[in-house]
Amino acid sequence: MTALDRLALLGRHRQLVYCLVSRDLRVRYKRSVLGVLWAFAEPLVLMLLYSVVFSLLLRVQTPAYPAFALAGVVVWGFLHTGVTYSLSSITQNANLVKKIYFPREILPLAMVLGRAVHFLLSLFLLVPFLIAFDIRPTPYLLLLPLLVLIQLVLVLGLALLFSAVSTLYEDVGFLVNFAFSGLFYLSPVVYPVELVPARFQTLYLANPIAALITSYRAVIISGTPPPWTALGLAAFTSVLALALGLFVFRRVEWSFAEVL
Amino acid sequence: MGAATIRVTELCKSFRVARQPQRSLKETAIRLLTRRLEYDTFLALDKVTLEIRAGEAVAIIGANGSGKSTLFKLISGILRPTSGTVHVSGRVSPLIELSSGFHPELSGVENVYLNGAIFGMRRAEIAARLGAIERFADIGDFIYAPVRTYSSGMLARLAFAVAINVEADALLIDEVLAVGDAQFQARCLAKIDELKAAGVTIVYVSHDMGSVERIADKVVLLEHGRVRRTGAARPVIEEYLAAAREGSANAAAGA
Repeated sequence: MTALDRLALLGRHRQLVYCLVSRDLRVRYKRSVLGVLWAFAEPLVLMLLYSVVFSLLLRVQTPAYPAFALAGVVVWGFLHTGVTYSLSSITQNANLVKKIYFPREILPLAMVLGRAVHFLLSLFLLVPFLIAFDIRPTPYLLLLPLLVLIQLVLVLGLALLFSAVSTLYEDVGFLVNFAFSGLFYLSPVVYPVELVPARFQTLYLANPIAALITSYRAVIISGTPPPWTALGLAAFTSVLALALGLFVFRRVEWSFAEVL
Repeated sequence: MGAATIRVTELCKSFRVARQPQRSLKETAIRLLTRRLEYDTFLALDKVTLEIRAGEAVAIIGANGSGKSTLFKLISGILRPTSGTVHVSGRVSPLIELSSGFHPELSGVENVYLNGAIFGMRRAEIAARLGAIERFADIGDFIYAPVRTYSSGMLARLAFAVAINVEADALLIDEVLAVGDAQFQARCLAKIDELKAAGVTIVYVSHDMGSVERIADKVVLLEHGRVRRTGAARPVIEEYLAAAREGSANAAAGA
């Protein structure tokens, strides 16, 4: 099956993608008494926590730290949950995978798209803080869709790769979760890139997550151009991740129905 | 006779069964290093050739482990052949209840849309069949309640109502009569007759010889992954029952 046939097959199943995404969002948002509010409370609570620890106690010298931290938390949240929630997307639907055929990549794809919608909604949490800190938008804000696209490609690639592998080998899920705890500290979620020693900056920004978070902050908060080289590299890495994810997923998807 | 809807040629399917169950990277790595990763190969289907023409109703019978379910899964595209080919023209849909695809918090109607989408139906198609699905499930106003409030029988009926209303050129049916009470089963059989009369190709897998004889024009008897006999319903069923009696007599004699 060529890539085009595959895309056509996915197109025929777009109703399933839509249903899974809307189910995921509706169930997540109406799960608790506070409903939608609760789904968006988490980044605000984390922002408050980081503001106390890093701005008040550790004295990280970053202007508008709460807005800075919130941007980091929200962008990181999409990466982290997009990949880790997808890990079990196939095993959780084992009963369907074993009984009926549909393009399997729909399962991680729907999970990632659901997280993407949540991420886009979460970005609006920044608005009151931008107003409070008197941060005005600059034309660089128009780059936002490009950043979202690069991040979506990255998250989708990693989600396809790791959901496939962790279905065959359960412990890969633990490794991925462990890696994300490490990546959190290797990414500028709670501290600015400037705190990284100059000689490590290039290496540090080779991490696409670091490049993306820094770029988001540049265009939203400081109103400056993103670090172009790092962002270009991140785009390249993301496309590579998607290609690898698709390749691995399609190599092993046949065995899902046999191992589950 | 129309063009073949399902053509199975020299189909083989073997499963690798690890001697020790392993589904972790660590264990696989250790076994690879110590060269102890050993598999047994189990041949579930052995060169099965079968042609099911458009509008034909074919039943597949055989003892447990004869390869019926494997053949079923290969035709529906869930499994990939080890060798040989499965050629399907037209839209094939399995008639199975997918209540495991229901979400407990969503209403019956919302779950019908979700379930229909799993079968590959478009939104408009599902909307057009919603009335028929509601009538077939016959669960009254429960259709608007979250499915967590359903009894297991209601769950199965709603899921089944979706499956039976999928528009398909060929319907794969696996043990339909396991679902619901006698009245619901009668309704299922009536619906299958209706679909058959409308020219839908039917592949029926069952242990219930009564329904096999009623539904099938042609019966395929599988034995240890091979086709033992293909033909009109009555003689093939008799051969199967005779073989089963012989088998149990041998088992009793051996014991």
